[in-house]
Amino acid sequence: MDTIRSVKAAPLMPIWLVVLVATMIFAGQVPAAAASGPWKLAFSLNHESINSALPTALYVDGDKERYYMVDSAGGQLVSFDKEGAFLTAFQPDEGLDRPFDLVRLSEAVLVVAEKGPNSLTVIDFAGQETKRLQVKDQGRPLMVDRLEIGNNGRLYALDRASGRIYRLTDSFTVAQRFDLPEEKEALVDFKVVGEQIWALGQQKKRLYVYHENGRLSKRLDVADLVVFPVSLAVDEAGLIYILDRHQGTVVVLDRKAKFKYRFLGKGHGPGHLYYPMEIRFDPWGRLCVVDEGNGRVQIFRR
Amino acid sequence: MKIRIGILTLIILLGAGGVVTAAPGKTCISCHPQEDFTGKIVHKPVARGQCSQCHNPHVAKYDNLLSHQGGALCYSCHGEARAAFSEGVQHQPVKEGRCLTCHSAHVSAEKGLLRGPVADSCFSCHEDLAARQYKVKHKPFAEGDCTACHQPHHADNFQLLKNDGDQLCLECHSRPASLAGHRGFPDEIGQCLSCHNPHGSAGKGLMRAALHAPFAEGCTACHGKDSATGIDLCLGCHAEVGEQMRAPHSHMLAGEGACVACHSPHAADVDGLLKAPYEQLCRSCHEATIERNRRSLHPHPETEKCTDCHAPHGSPRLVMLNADGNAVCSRCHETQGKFSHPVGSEVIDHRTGQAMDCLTCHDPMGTEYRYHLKLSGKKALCVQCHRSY
Repeated sequence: MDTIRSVKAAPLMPIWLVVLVATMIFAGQVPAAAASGPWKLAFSLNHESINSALPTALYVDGDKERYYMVDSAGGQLVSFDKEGAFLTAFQPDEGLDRPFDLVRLSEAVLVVAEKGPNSLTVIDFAGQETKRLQVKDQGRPLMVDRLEIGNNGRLYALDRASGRIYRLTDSFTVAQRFDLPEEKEALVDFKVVGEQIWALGQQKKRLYVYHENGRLSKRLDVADLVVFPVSLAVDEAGLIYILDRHQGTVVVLDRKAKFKYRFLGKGHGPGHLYYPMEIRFDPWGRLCVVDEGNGRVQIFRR
Repeated sequence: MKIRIGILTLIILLGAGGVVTAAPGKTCISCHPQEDFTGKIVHKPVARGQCSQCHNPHVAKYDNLLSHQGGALCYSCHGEARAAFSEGVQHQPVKEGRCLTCHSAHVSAEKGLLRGPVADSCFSCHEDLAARQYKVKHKPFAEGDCTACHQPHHADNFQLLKNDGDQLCLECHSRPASLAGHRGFPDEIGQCLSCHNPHGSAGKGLMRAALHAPFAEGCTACHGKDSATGIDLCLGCHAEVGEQMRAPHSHMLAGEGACVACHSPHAADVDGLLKAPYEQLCRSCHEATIERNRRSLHPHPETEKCTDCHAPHGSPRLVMLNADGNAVCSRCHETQGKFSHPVGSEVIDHRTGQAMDCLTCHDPMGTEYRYHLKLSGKKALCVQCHRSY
């Protein structure tokens, strides 16, 4: 009887070993699985009619519940509904030459940063008119890269040549020039978050926070966390998201720029990125990643 | 008494000659000749006869019965060096743990157990530099004193310079003397390496070979009273570059340092007035990419210039290619350009809905799979699309 009992006894882990392993895990001696965050792929903005697209930017129209993808290679703007269904691909009669970014300025007016002619191209659907404007600062033409709409419909532009952010008037002249955060820095993206403007510097791999009055209030170093940062976004809780183009990852930081987790990775399948270009939140709290190398925008929900 | 004097004389002579006879393990030298371990400078374990500090006398995983390989073996004693050497810019052999590229493991005639005189060690890898027969040579270079300007292991500065370029020059060339040689130059002498080659030159003053045309004529073409500044100054003449930079992907850097991040505005030894040869220049910003290729199991063979595939100013294409993916690859891979897996706008990668090209399956910046495939070509890559297989 004793013999049978001993044979059937389960090979239980000794209590001392259980305690030791548990202690090590809680003490951080055993690496836990890498956190992937709460994000799940909801859908992709893509369509067979744009099979050579190289999207460089996404504008989300909360009022009309539409996504507008800028297809730089096709020289067109591609719209999708809130659920990701393709609506149309369009361009003005004059065409678009290397469009790069887009915002909607009013009910029927879109503004496109067009690299080819180096213009802010104003597409007025109501007036059925397209104007190419060149913005100048003290006689020097800006090379507009990124566009954002801030509080009260204010239009902001990033000038690639000077690396500065500008606020523009309704007539597309310079209303305000932001100082460079530091010497030999190149801003590559910015987002307006309430009364703050968050900017990303690629040379020094730093985040800069300006008040909308132009005062630089914060400088956060992320050089150890990213290889080639191209875009940033800030969510409602104040968490910071940085898109790493070469790694194909999104790095998430807390308000003090302390690393929280990293997710996605380089590749072509769903949930993978191939030389992504821009990241932003839509009005419905979804995270949108412009996945240039895969010719799509991937939308993630929590 | 005579014997004592004789012994004393022998000791003095040996000391004066600087020759130390090592005492490797007695058992070892019964087969390995003593003279291999005799020299001016002897590695401490060798001098103490502690061969087994590095070698296992019976069996080992590594060549020469070494207990560890490369830097791991050296750092087992020189642990403090590992941490120190990991900071800043690392010399390539240090980065790869190849200490024996420069150092001898047993004995040497040179301080620091160097394999030979400093310059010989350096030129054994930097052959192109050794081969250059400059008419005018910088004194430290002529004397083979490379470490006068460069750190051998790691440094805080580009090209392992001991100090920031300008500061380094001014350590020997005093500011007043330098100003006297640069009449009309602003007070702040700087960017010395922009005009001068620190090793040698065919001309006076170590001037670099090719001069920027406006510089050859004087200074005022660019530094006139009403001259533009930064990129606007350069694009004033080089309008075609401005056109190339008006692309979704551009190397346009902001501000004053825009063009001069890569080009010298005055003089250079590399075509296009580049500040350094392509790999060095591109590496100064794209270190991670170049290292990824180099460290991958199947790296792309080195091309002469990064611009063989990439457009240096700007491109509408992904990764700043200078033509579409198929065209760039088939310039060298001619056969695959004519006969390959179908590619082009009619062949769609179902994962992305995008047209296929060479870069759909290959990553020319190196991968862990043969032919720079992104996944194993035996199956994993193919079944991404051909699922029924």
